[in-house]
Amino acid sequence: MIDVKNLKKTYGKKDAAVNALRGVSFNVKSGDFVSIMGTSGSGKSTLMNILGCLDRQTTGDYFLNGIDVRSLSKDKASDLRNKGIGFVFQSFFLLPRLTALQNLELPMAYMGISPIARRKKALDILNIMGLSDRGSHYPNELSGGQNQRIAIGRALANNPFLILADEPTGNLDTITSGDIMKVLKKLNEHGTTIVLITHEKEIARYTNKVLVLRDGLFVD
Amino acid sequence: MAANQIKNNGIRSFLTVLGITIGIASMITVISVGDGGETRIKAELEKFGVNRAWILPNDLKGMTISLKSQDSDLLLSSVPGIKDIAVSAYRKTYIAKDGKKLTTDVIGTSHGLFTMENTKFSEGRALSETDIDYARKVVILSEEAKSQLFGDELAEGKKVEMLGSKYTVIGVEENEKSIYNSFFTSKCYIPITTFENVFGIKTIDEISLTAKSSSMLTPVLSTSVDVLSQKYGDKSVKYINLQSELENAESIIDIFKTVISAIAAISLLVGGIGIMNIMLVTVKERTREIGIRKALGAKDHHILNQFLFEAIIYSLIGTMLGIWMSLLVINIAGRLLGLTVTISMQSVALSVLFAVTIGVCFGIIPAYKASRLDPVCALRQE
Repeated sequence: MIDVKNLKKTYGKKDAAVNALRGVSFNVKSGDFVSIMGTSGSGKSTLMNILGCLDRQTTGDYFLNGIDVRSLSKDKASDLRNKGIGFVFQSFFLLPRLTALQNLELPMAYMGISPIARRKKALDILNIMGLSDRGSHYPNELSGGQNQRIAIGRALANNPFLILADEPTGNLDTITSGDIMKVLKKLNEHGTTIVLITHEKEIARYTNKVLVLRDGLFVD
Repeated sequence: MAANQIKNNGIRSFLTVLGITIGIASMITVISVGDGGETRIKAELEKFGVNRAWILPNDLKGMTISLKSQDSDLLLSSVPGIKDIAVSAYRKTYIAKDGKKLTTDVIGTSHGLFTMENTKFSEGRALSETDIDYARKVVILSEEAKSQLFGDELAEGKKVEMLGSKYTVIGVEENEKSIYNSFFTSKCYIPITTFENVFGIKTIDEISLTAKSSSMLTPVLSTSVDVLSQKYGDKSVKYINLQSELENAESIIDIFKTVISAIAAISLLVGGIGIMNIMLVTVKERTREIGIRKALGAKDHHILNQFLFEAIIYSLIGTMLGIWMSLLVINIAGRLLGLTVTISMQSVALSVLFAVTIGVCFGIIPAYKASRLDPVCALRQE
């Protein structure tokens, strides 16, 4: 599914250039649950942005489901993110002025699904996440764990083939972290491919495969 | 969603749309009040009749002629198309009743004047042909003169003293609150023949006439002037008609409308800049949101539309407030000016169109900026 070869990313120019990624190669198969570990500054966020089609590599190849992502137009990349990739962020990134339900509906709205259909799907997801009584709440009225469940639900809204989770437990306490990881684990068991970025070994332990990134390169 | 956004920033949103509100309100008010004034002036002038005209001696140095009351008969017999015709002569005099005395305009005239002006009487009747033929000492008082002399009592049939003898009041002219009223506060009408006897003169000040239709007015006037010129000499008479007065009034109102509309347009421009400013701030504040939306699959045009829509909503809210405010102002202005002012639907439609245009014009730059944001940078922003 993910096929990365000798990926490099350089920020800035000439003397001031920063090499965030210095040639990483790996692949993720459909159904995998992979964690990428690294300290801050190791290049893991840069890698995440490229994998999520939010950013582009300087050199190297990245194929997602056989598509050369670098060749995609901005709109095509948006489509790919919308339909194929679900994002889970460290600080949830729910829209504060939208209710839990409206947040869940957002990716479906950009897909062009009718309001009635997306409300129905959003209610289903809310139910699966065990938050069916929280639909009309705003993010600031929900706990961190609840917010992250909504965010995971939002990532699932368009049935993506890949979930990218960037430190999904970074803002949560240990118990809630465990809960969220169990949710992700369950999703993986149902067949969703997940790439998770973390700096905590305890979190990486939930995954099937661990890659460690240091100074823009994988280490064994 | 946009409505939510705007609601959550109550005071800021209100201040943002204030410029638009004031601009729209003044535009609609001016157009509506202007239209009301125009209608009123037209109605006033039509009361005199747009078919109406006056023939007067031309003011030539040392050679000004005097019209005679017989000239109206001459015109009536030789000019086709005249509906009503009357002669008038003016003087100032005193009029007294039981020791009460007041200065008044006395107008010697013929019965045609009252049919022509469609005069209403609160008491009595108009001058009749017999009154004229027999030079009767009868008088018609204006409401103003009547109330000063008689108070609330009836005046019809009673006698007043003027011009050295007693006159019988045969009618009281109803006060129609004309805008010209202030010019003729107190006046009275007597038969032209009586007027000539009393003052010992045979000249009149003007002949007024109406044509059978407005299209006949111009030929009637030119023939009349020809007929009188033959009698008195070239360029001895001139005419005035209401059509030209109406055009004068309209052009004054138009100038007034243009000036205020220009000020309103400036206010709208400032209002538009206000919206642009707030939209730029909004985009900055919501960079994170834009990043999230893009990560979730929003394309550039989705973001562009979202912010453009928000700018249009701002502008429309301003417009709605403006329309509401103009209704208020129009109501007050109507009462103060004594005009029947109805809100001009055309200007309302125009201002809604204007609002959308302003929203688009001033929202496009911030919206475009928002749509072009790089999702990675937008997400990274705290």
